[in-house]
Amino acid sequence: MKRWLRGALKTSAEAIAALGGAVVPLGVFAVLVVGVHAGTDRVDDYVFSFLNAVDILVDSAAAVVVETLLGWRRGSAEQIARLTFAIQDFVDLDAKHRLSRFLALAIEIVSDIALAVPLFVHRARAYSLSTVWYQLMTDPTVLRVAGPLAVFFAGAAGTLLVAQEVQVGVHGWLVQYARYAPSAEAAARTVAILAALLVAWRLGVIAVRRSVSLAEERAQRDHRMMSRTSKRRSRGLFIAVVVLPVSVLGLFEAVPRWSVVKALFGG
Amino acid sequence: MSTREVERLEDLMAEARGTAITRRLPGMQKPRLLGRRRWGALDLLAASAAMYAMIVHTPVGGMLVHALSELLGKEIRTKPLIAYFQTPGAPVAGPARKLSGKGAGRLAMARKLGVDPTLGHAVAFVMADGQQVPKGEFDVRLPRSVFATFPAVGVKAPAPTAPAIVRQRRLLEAIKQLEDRYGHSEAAVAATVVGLTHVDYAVGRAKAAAAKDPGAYQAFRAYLPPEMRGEADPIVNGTFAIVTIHSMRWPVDRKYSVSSPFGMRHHPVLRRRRMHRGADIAVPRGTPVYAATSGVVLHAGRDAVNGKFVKVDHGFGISTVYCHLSKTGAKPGARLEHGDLVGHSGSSGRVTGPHLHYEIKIDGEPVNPEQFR
Repeated sequence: MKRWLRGALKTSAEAIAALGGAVVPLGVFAVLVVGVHAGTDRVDDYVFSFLNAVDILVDSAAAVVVETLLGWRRGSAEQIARLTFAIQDFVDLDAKHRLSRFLALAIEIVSDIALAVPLFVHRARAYSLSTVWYQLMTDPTVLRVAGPLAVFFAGAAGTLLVAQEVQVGVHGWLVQYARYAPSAEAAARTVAILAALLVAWRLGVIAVRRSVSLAEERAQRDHRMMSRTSKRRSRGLFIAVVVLPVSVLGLFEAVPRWSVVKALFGG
Repeated sequence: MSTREVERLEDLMAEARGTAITRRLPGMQKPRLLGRRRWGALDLLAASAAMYAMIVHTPVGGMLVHALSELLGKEIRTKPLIAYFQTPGAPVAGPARKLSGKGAGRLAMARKLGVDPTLGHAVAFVMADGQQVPKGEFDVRLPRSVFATFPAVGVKAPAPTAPAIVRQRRLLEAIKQLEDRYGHSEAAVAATVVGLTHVDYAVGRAKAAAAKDPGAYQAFRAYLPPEMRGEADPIVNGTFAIVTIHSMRWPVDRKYSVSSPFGMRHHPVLRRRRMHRGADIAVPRGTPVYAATSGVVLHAGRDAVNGKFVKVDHGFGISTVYCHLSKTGAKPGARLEHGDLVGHSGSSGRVTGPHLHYEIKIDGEPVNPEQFR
């Protein structure tokens, strides 16, 4: 090969490698964020039901308190009704709807911070499967289980949604610019499958390995620093109670949209 | 001290504390750090695809784009963060807001101009960007891209050199042909904007994903290319918001009168002036209450003030709320058709007597329900 061509290829490979060092961790972060969002997109409905239930309890308690207090002070029925109504109507239906969506947004941002941000900065160690399994059997902690599982589900959901976006984009581009409509669907489907495999292999595997390493490092640090076993083993409850269910929900959301596999098998 | 001696000391201290010892496999050292990989073009591709999906679909991506636009000093338009959360059957935020507006929103304008709320008139009005649309037969100037679909459905389009004006009848004919093709008017209107191929593909994908109603815009929108979604959203959402709002029926028999109308009023309990966001209809307890038009039940619950309530989402930014019911069989997520039973009126919640409190909201803003009686 000519020397100049070898030089050019070498320079571009180094540039790509340097760029990859900055971009790939962002890609890992992005896959997890997309997967978490697929889950939180449906969370606002559940949050509304929860807020409504809390509102009913608070309103009932407020009515009892107002009646008791104003009863002692010999308040009139009208005063009691007015104050009770004002308290009960303080958080109305519209406010609960707005609050449920804001809470869903807050849950998403906190989940991203708990799940994706630590992986972004963590320097992973090469823990083997046998080591991880052994540690899990001898010293099971919530973090060792919930963390990697949440990353796995969020990563899987994110991979499917990224592949769907690629499929739609490729099809649109082929139809509009390449004027290649007849085979655009098959081509887009093929590219989507390749994209899913690529994202899972190059980004998903990194995410899961980092999460296993992070969980292991934290569990071992807690073992050295914390004296109470119960406290040490229950660390990571937020991830187990909030982030993991959101990630699982995200995968359920993403799977029905995975029409490529269905189409491949005649669906 | 060597590493082994430190680890042995740690084990002894853990044993003294009484905590479990994490045993290591014999001869095992702390695992090595994963070496820095040499990233290639495939890694960059995968990361770029993931970041693109994050920017388009997630609020975190929206925040990053906003931060970038602040940094660069360039205005890059992003959706409000809340708009990334789509409740079932809800439209994309934005287009319906143009219809409600304060003052001359598009819907108010449509009513003022007497736009016939049939599909043809509505789509012509929205596509013509709110131009004066007279009653009866008329000519309308449309974007030239709309005419691209006409030949495919056997309707004559204006010549490329001729003005982009078409008789309303021809536009209706094209939409009718497209409705026959897709079995759904929303897909038909979307096809006039973005073309048949993109909508064929998107509806096909929605069917493959087992969507309940693949021809509904909300079902296939995700499978349109992003730039096409931006083009189709205002036309489809605007058109069907006009059609939906005008198809709404009164929830109870018309013989019952409105005891407390929409607007500022003297509140009977609070004894001060306050905005009344709906209309109170004086109905005896047990009167059947019907859905104003087809939609999906968003919430069915109760609270201390509204009593038993049902909120129905009709799509395109339009929702209705029915309060103070005595009973309801509506379940969240259930589909209601035009005129289906929502529940029976009552006096649940904070009320002075049995009545139905009925609200219509356009993109979250309450409007006077009596306008759509």
